[in-house]
Amino acid sequence: MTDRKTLERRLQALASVGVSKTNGRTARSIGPNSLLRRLLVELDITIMPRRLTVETDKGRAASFLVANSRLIRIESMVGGGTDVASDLRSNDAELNARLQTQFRALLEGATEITTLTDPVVEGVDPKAAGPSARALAEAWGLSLEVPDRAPVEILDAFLTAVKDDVVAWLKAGGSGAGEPDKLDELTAFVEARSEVEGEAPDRGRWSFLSLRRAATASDITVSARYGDATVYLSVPRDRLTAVADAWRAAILG
Amino acid sequence: MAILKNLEVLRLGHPGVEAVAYLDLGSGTVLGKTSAINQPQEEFDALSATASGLIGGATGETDEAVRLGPMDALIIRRSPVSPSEAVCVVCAPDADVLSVLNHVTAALDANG
Repeated sequence: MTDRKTLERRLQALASVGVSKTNGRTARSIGPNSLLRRLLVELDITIMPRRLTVETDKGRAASFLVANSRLIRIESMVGGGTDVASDLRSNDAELNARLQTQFRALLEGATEITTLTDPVVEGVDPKAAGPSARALAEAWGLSLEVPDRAPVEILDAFLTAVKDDVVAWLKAGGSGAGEPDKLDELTAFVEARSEVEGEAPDRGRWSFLSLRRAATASDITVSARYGDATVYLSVPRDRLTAVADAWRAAILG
Repeated sequence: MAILKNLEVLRLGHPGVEAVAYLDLGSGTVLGKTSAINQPQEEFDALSATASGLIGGATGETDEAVRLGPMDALIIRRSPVSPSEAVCVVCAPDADVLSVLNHVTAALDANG
Protein backbone atom coordinates (compact mmCIF):
# COMPACT_ATOMS: atom_id res chain seq x y z
CA MET A 1 0.00 0.00 0.00
CA THR A 2 2.90 2.34 -0.52
CA ASP A 3 2.89 3.01 -4.24
CA ARG A 4 2.75 6.61 -5.32
CA LYS A 5 -0.90 6.53 -6.30
CA THR A 6 -1.85 5.17 -2.92
CA LEU A 7 0.12 7.78 -1.11
CA GLU A 8 -1.34 10.59 -3.17
CA ARG A 9 -4.83 9.37 -2.44
CA ARG A 10 -3.95 9.03 1.20
CA LEU A 11 -2.73 12.59 1.34
CA GLN A 12 -5.75 13.93 -0.52
CA ALA A 13 -8.11 12.17 1.84
CA LEU A 14 -6.30 12.94 5.03
CA ALA A 15 -4.63 16.31 4.74
CA SER A 16 -7.65 18.26 5.87
CA VAL A 17 -7.68 17.33 9.53
CA GLY A 18 -4.96 17.72 12.14
CA VAL A 19 -3.41 14.98 14.20
CA SER A 20 -2.16 15.04 17.71
CA LYS A 21 1.21 16.52 18.36
CA THR A 22 3.87 13.90 18.89
CA ASN A 23 6.52 14.15 21.54
CA GLY A 24 9.84 15.71 20.71
CA ARG A 25 12.57 13.20 20.01
CA THR A 26 16.14 13.79 21.05
CA ALA A 27 19.06 12.11 19.34
CA ARG A 28 22.70 12.30 20.36
CA SER A 29 25.59 12.06 17.99
CA ILE A 30 27.08 8.58 17.97
CA GLY A 31 29.57 9.16 15.19
CA PRO A 32 30.26 11.09 12.01
CA ASN A 33 27.09 11.89 10.08
CA SER A 34 24.84 10.21 12.65
CA LEU A 35 22.75 13.36 13.23
CA LEU A 36 22.50 14.02 9.50
CA ARG A 37 21.34 10.46 8.99
CA ARG A 38 18.88 10.80 11.86
CA LEU A 39 17.31 13.86 10.26
CA LEU A 40 16.88 11.98 7.00
CA VAL A 41 15.29 9.07 8.88
CA GLU A 42 12.80 11.51 10.40
CA LEU A 43 11.93 12.67 6.88
CA ASP A 44 11.65 9.10 5.67
CA ILE A 45 9.15 7.98 8.32
CA THR A 46 6.86 10.98 7.82
CA ILE A 47 4.01 10.03 5.52
CA MET A 48 1.28 12.49 6.38
CA PRO A 49 1.90 16.22 5.85
CA ARG A 50 3.80 17.50 8.85
CA ARG A 51 5.98 20.36 9.91
CA LEU A 52 9.29 19.02 11.17
CA THR A 53 11.14 21.35 13.51
CA VAL A 54 14.75 20.72 14.42
CA GLU A 55 16.79 22.32 17.18
CA THR A 56 20.45 21.67 17.87
CA ASP A 57 22.34 22.02 21.13
CA LYS A 58 24.32 24.78 19.41
CA GLY A 59 21.23 26.95 19.25
CA ARG A 60 20.49 26.54 15.55
CA ALA A 61 17.04 25.60 14.32
CA ALA A 62 15.21 24.76 11.12
CA SER A 63 11.67 24.06 10.02
CA PHE A 64 10.57 21.89 7.11
CA LEU A 65 7.33 20.81 5.49
CA VAL A 66 7.46 17.07 4.90
CA ALA A 67 5.00 14.66 3.31
CA ASN A 68 5.11 11.28 1.63
CA SER A 69 8.71 10.79 2.92
CA ARG A 70 9.70 13.83 0.87
CA LEU A 71 11.10 17.21 1.73
CA ILE A 72 8.56 19.62 0.30
CA ARG A 73 9.63 22.98 1.62
CA ILE A 74 12.27 24.52 3.85
CA GLU A 75 10.48 27.15 5.87
CA SER A 76 13.51 28.33 7.80
CA MET A 77 17.09 27.15 7.75
CA VAL A 78 20.71 28.17 7.91
CA GLY A 79 21.20 29.82 4.53
CA GLY A 80 17.52 30.64 4.06
CA GLY A 81 14.32 28.84 3.20
CA THR A 82 13.24 27.56 -0.16
CA ASP A 83 10.43 25.78 -1.93
CA VAL A 84 12.32 22.57 -2.51
CA ALA A 85 9.61 20.90 -4.54
CA SER A 86 9.69 23.73 -7.08
CA ASP A 87 13.47 23.80 -7.20
CA LEU A 88 13.60 20.08 -7.84
CA ARG A 89 12.10 20.53 -11.26
CA SER A 90 15.19 22.45 -12.38
CA ASN A 91 18.27 20.53 -11.34
CA ASP A 92 18.39 17.52 -9.00
CA ALA A 93 22.14 17.28 -8.47
CA GLU A 94 22.54 20.99 -7.85
CA LEU A 95 19.64 21.02 -5.40
CA ASN A 96 20.92 17.94 -3.57
CA ALA A 97 24.34 19.52 -3.15
CA ARG A 98 22.89 22.79 -1.90
CA LEU A 99 20.65 20.98 0.57
CA GLN A 100 23.60 18.98 1.86
CA THR A 101 25.52 22.20 2.47
CA GLN A 102 22.57 23.68 4.33
CA PHE A 103 21.93 20.58 6.44
CA ARG A 104 25.60 20.28 7.38
CA ALA A 105 25.67 23.96 8.34
CA LEU A 106 22.63 23.42 10.53
CA LEU A 107 24.29 20.51 12.34
CA GLU A 108 27.84 21.85 12.47
CA GLY A 109 29.37 21.21 15.89
CA ALA A 110 26.11 19.82 17.29
CA THR A 111 26.18 16.77 19.54
CA GLU A 112 22.42 16.58 20.03
CA ILE A 113 19.28 17.45 18.11
CA THR A 114 15.65 17.54 19.13
CA THR A 115 12.98 17.03 16.49
CA LEU A 116 9.30 17.80 16.80
CA THR A 117 6.53 17.10 14.32
CA ASP A 118 3.22 18.90 14.02
CA PRO A 119 0.36 18.25 11.64
CA VAL A 120 0.02 20.54 8.67
CA VAL A 121 -3.56 21.35 7.83
CA GLU A 122 -3.02 23.44 4.73
CA GLY A 123 -0.33 24.41 2.30
CA VAL A 124 0.94 21.03 1.14
CA ASP A 125 0.17 19.99 -2.39
CA PRO A 126 -0.33 16.20 -2.32
CA LYS A 127 1.28 16.04 -5.74
CA ALA A 128 4.36 17.97 -4.64
CA ALA A 129 7.43 15.99 -5.52
CA GLY A 130 10.30 17.23 -3.44
CA PRO A 131 13.33 14.99 -3.00
CA SER A 132 12.71 11.82 -1.04
CA ALA A 133 14.74 11.12 2.06
CA ARG A 134 16.19 8.07 0.38
CA ALA A 135 17.24 10.03 -2.70
CA LEU A 136 18.98 12.59 -0.51
CA ALA A 137 20.68 9.85 1.49
CA GLU A 138 21.95 8.25 -1.68
CA ALA A 139 23.18 11.57 -3.04
CA TRP A 140 24.93 12.32 0.24
CA GLY A 141 26.48 8.86 0.58
CA LEU A 142 24.45 7.84 3.64
CA SER A 143 22.33 4.80 4.48
CA LEU A 144 18.93 4.98 6.14
CA GLU A 145 18.98 1.38 7.22
CA VAL A 146 18.63 0.81 10.93
CA PRO A 147 22.06 0.50 12.53
CA ASP A 148 22.97 -2.99 13.56
CA ARG A 149 22.53 -2.65 17.30
CA ALA A 150 22.01 -5.31 19.90
CA PRO A 151 18.28 -6.05 20.34
CA VAL A 152 18.66 -5.82 24.12
CA GLU A 153 20.08 -2.31 23.74
CA ILE A 154 17.04 -1.24 21.73
CA LEU A 155 14.57 -2.74 24.18
CA ASP A 156 16.36 -1.09 27.10
CA ALA A 157 16.14 2.28 25.35
CA PHE A 158 12.43 1.66 24.82
CA LEU A 159 11.89 0.68 28.45
CA THR A 160 13.74 3.78 29.65
CA ALA A 161 11.62 6.01 27.44
CA VAL A 162 8.31 4.60 28.72
CA LYS A 163 9.28 3.99 32.36
CA ASP A 164 6.86 6.65 33.63
CA ASP A 165 3.96 5.02 31.75
CA VAL A 166 4.59 1.37 32.57
CA VAL A 167 2.58 -0.37 35.27
CA ALA A 168 4.60 -3.57 34.90
CA TRP A 169 7.16 -5.00 32.48
CA LEU A 170 8.63 -8.40 31.79
CA LYS A 171 11.44 -9.44 29.49
CA ALA A 172 11.03 -12.77 27.74
CA GLY A 173 13.10 -15.27 29.69
CA GLY A 174 14.41 -12.60 32.01
CA SER A 175 13.67 -9.95 34.55
CA GLY A 176 10.55 -7.97 35.30
CA ALA A 177 9.14 -5.39 37.68
CA GLY A 178 5.97 -3.52 38.57
CA GLU A 179 2.68 -4.06 40.33
CA PRO A 180 2.51 -7.73 41.42
CA ASP A 181 -0.92 -8.50 39.99
CA LYS A 182 -0.03 -6.91 36.65
CA LEU A 183 3.25 -8.79 36.60
CA ASP A 184 1.34 -12.04 37.15
CA GLU A 185 -0.95 -11.14 34.26
CA LEU A 186 2.05 -10.48 32.04
CA THR A 187 3.60 -13.81 33.02
CA ALA A 188 0.40 -15.64 32.13
CA PHE A 189 0.20 -13.70 28.87
CA VAL A 190 3.77 -14.61 27.93
CA GLU A 191 3.19 -18.29 28.66
CA ALA A 192 0.06 -18.35 26.50
CA ARG A 193 1.78 -16.34 23.80
CA SER A 194 4.77 -18.66 23.67
CA GLU A 195 2.53 -21.55 22.74
CA VAL A 196 1.15 -19.58 19.79
CA GLU A 197 4.39 -18.00 18.61
CA GLY A 198 6.30 -21.23 18.84
CA GLU A 199 4.64 -22.27 15.61
CA ALA A 200 4.76 -18.86 13.94
CA PRO A 201 6.89 -18.33 10.84
CA ASP A 202 9.57 -15.65 10.63
CA ARG A 203 7.82 -12.44 11.61
CA GLY A 204 10.43 -9.96 10.44
CA ARG A 205 13.03 -7.93 12.28
CA TRP A 206 10.67 -6.26 14.72
CA SER A 207 7.07 -6.26 15.87
CA PHE A 208 4.88 -4.14 18.10
CA LEU A 209 1.50 -5.39 19.21
CA SER A 210 -0.87 -3.99 21.81
CA LEU A 211 -3.87 -5.95 23.06
CA ARG A 212 -6.77 -4.99 25.28
CA ARG A 213 -8.38 -8.00 26.88
CA ALA A 214 -11.73 -6.36 27.60
CA ALA A 215 -13.27 -3.24 26.17
CA THR A 216 -13.56 -1.78 29.64
CA ALA A 217 -10.00 -2.58 30.75
CA SER A 218 -7.97 0.49 31.64
CA ASP A 219 -4.64 -1.18 30.82
CA ILE A 220 -3.31 -2.72 27.65
CA THR A 221 -0.68 -5.38 27.16
CA VAL A 222 2.13 -4.49 24.76
CA SER A 223 4.44 -7.01 23.17
CA ALA A 224 7.50 -5.36 21.62
CA ARG A 225 10.09 -7.51 19.89
CA TYR A 226 13.32 -6.61 18.17
CA GLY A 227 15.27 -9.49 16.70
CA ASP A 228 15.37 -12.24 19.30
CA ALA A 229 14.57 -10.02 22.28
CA THR A 230 11.05 -9.29 23.49
CA VAL A 231 9.63 -7.18 26.28
CA TYR A 232 6.04 -7.22 27.52
CA LEU A 233 4.44 -4.19 29.14
CA SER A 234 1.28 -3.37 30.99
CA VAL A 235 0.45 0.29 30.40
CA PRO A 236 -2.63 2.50 30.71
CA ARG A 237 -4.58 2.51 27.48
CA ASP A 238 -4.54 6.28 27.29
CA ARG A 239 -0.75 6.13 26.91
CA LEU A 240 -0.88 3.98 23.78
CA THR A 241 0.15 6.74 21.38
CA ALA A 242 3.04 7.82 23.61
CA VAL A 243 4.26 4.23 23.91
CA ALA A 244 3.98 3.71 20.15
CA ASP A 245 5.99 6.90 19.54
CA ALA A 246 8.61 5.73 22.02
CA TRP A 247 8.89 2.42 20.19
CA ARG A 248 9.44 4.13 16.85
CA ALA A 249 12.10 6.34 18.42
CA ALA A 250 13.84 3.35 20.00
CA ILE A 251 14.10 1.34 16.81
CA LEU A 252 15.31 4.38 14.88
CA GLY A 253 18.30 4.62 17.18
CA MET B 1 -25.70 -0.51 7.42
CA ALA B 2 -25.31 2.55 9.59
CA ILE B 3 -21.92 1.33 10.65
CA LEU B 4 -20.62 1.62 7.09
CA LYS B 5 -21.65 5.23 6.88
CA ASN B 6 -19.91 5.87 10.18
CA LEU B 7 -16.79 4.16 8.95
CA GLU B 8 -16.78 6.20 5.77
CA VAL B 9 -16.93 9.31 7.93
CA LEU B 10 -14.06 7.92 9.96
CA ARG B 11 -11.91 7.28 6.90
CA LEU B 12 -12.53 10.62 5.28
CA GLY B 13 -12.41 12.68 8.42
CA HIS B 14 -9.56 11.19 10.35
CA PRO B 15 -5.92 11.68 9.44
CA GLY B 16 -3.95 8.60 8.63
CA VAL B 17 -6.82 6.26 7.86
CA GLU B 18 -6.34 4.51 4.55
CA ALA B 19 -8.92 1.74 4.63
CA VAL B 20 -11.64 0.46 6.94
CA ALA B 21 -13.35 -2.92 6.89
CA TYR B 22 -16.19 -4.40 8.90
CA LEU B 23 -15.59 -8.09 9.44
CA ASP B 24 -17.47 -11.21 10.44
CA LEU B 25 -14.78 -13.01 12.42
CA GLY B 26 -16.67 -16.29 12.46
CA SER B 27 -17.00 -16.75 8.72
CA GLY B 28 -14.06 -14.59 7.70
CA THR B 29 -16.38 -12.50 5.58
CA VAL B 30 -15.80 -8.83 4.81
CA LEU B 31 -19.22 -7.36 5.52
CA GLY B 32 -18.36 -3.86 4.33
CA LYS B 33 -15.37 -1.79 3.39
CA THR B 34 -14.23 1.67 2.44
CA SER B 35 -10.85 2.56 1.06
CA ALA B 36 -8.97 5.51 -0.37
CA ILE B 37 -8.18 3.40 -3.42
CA ASN B 38 -9.89 0.55 -5.22
CA GLN B 39 -8.17 -2.31 -3.47
CA PRO B 40 -8.87 -5.83 -4.71
CA GLN B 41 -11.08 -8.08 -2.62
CA GLU B 42 -8.13 -10.41 -2.05
CA GLU B 43 -6.39 -7.72 -0.01
CA PHE B 44 -9.42 -7.32 2.23
CA ASP B 45 -9.69 -11.08 2.61
CA ALA B 46 -6.07 -11.21 3.73
CA LEU B 47 -6.70 -8.28 6.04
CA SER B 48 -9.67 -10.10 7.54
CA ALA B 49 -7.58 -13.19 8.27
CA THR B 50 -4.83 -11.13 9.86
CA ALA B 51 -7.26 -9.14 11.99
CA SER B 52 -9.05 -12.27 13.13
CA GLY B 53 -5.74 -13.82 14.15
CA LEU B 54 -4.69 -10.80 16.16
CA ILE B 55 -7.92 -10.48 18.08
CA GLY B 56 -8.42 -14.19 18.65
CA GLY B 57 -11.22 -14.93 16.22
CA ALA B 58 -14.95 -14.85 16.86
CA THR B 59 -14.70 -16.13 20.42
CA GLY B 60 -11.41 -14.58 21.50
CA GLU B 61 -10.98 -12.66 24.73
CA THR B 62 -9.21 -9.70 23.12
CA ASP B 63 -11.38 -6.71 22.26
CA GLU B 64 -8.79 -4.36 20.79
CA ALA B 65 -5.53 -4.92 18.98
CA VAL B 66 -3.00 -2.55 17.46
CA ARG B 67 -0.12 -3.79 15.35
CA LEU B 68 2.54 -1.37 14.19
CA GLY B 69 4.56 -2.09 11.09
CA PRO B 70 7.14 -0.17 9.08
CA MET B 71 4.64 0.68 6.36
CA ASP B 72 1.32 0.86 8.16
CA ALA B 73 -0.55 0.42 11.42
CA LEU B 74 -3.39 -2.06 11.83
CA ILE B 75 -6.16 -1.35 14.34
CA ILE B 76 -8.86 -3.88 15.21
CA ARG B 77 -11.84 -3.31 17.52
CA ARG B 78 -14.41 -5.95 18.34
CA SER B 79 -18.07 -4.91 18.20
CA PRO B 80 -19.53 -4.52 21.70
CA VAL B 81 -22.96 -5.70 20.55
CA SER B 82 -21.90 -8.44 18.12
CA PRO B 83 -18.64 -9.89 19.49
CA SER B 84 -18.12 -12.06 16.43
CA GLU B 85 -17.81 -8.89 14.33
CA ALA B 86 -15.04 -6.32 14.32
CA VAL B 87 -13.80 -3.19 12.62
CA CYS B 88 -10.35 -3.26 11.09
CA VAL B 89 -8.55 -0.05 10.14
CA VAL B 90 -5.40 0.35 8.08
CA CYS B 91 -3.63 3.65 8.65
CA ALA B 92 -0.37 5.41 8.07
CA PRO B 93 2.47 4.20 10.27
CA ASP B 94 2.71 7.55 12.04
CA ALA B 95 -1.02 7.96 12.67
CA ASP B 96 -2.30 8.65 16.17
CA VAL B 97 -3.50 5.11 16.84
CA LEU B 98 -5.31 5.88 20.09
CA SER B 99 -7.31 8.64 18.43
CA VAL B 100 -8.28 6.27 15.61
CA LEU B 101 -9.27 3.61 18.13
CA ASN B 102 -11.49 6.05 19.96
CA HIS B 103 -13.13 7.05 16.68
CA VAL B 104 -13.77 3.40 15.85
CA THR B 105 -15.30 2.84 19.27
CA ALA B 106 -17.56 5.84 18.77
CA ALA B 107 -18.61 4.53 15.35
CA LEU B 108 -19.46 1.13 16.84
CA ASP B 109 -21.35 2.72 19.72
CA ALA B 110 -23.32 4.84 17.25
CA ASN B 111 -24.25 1.62 15.48
CA GLY B 112 -25.82 0.52 18.75
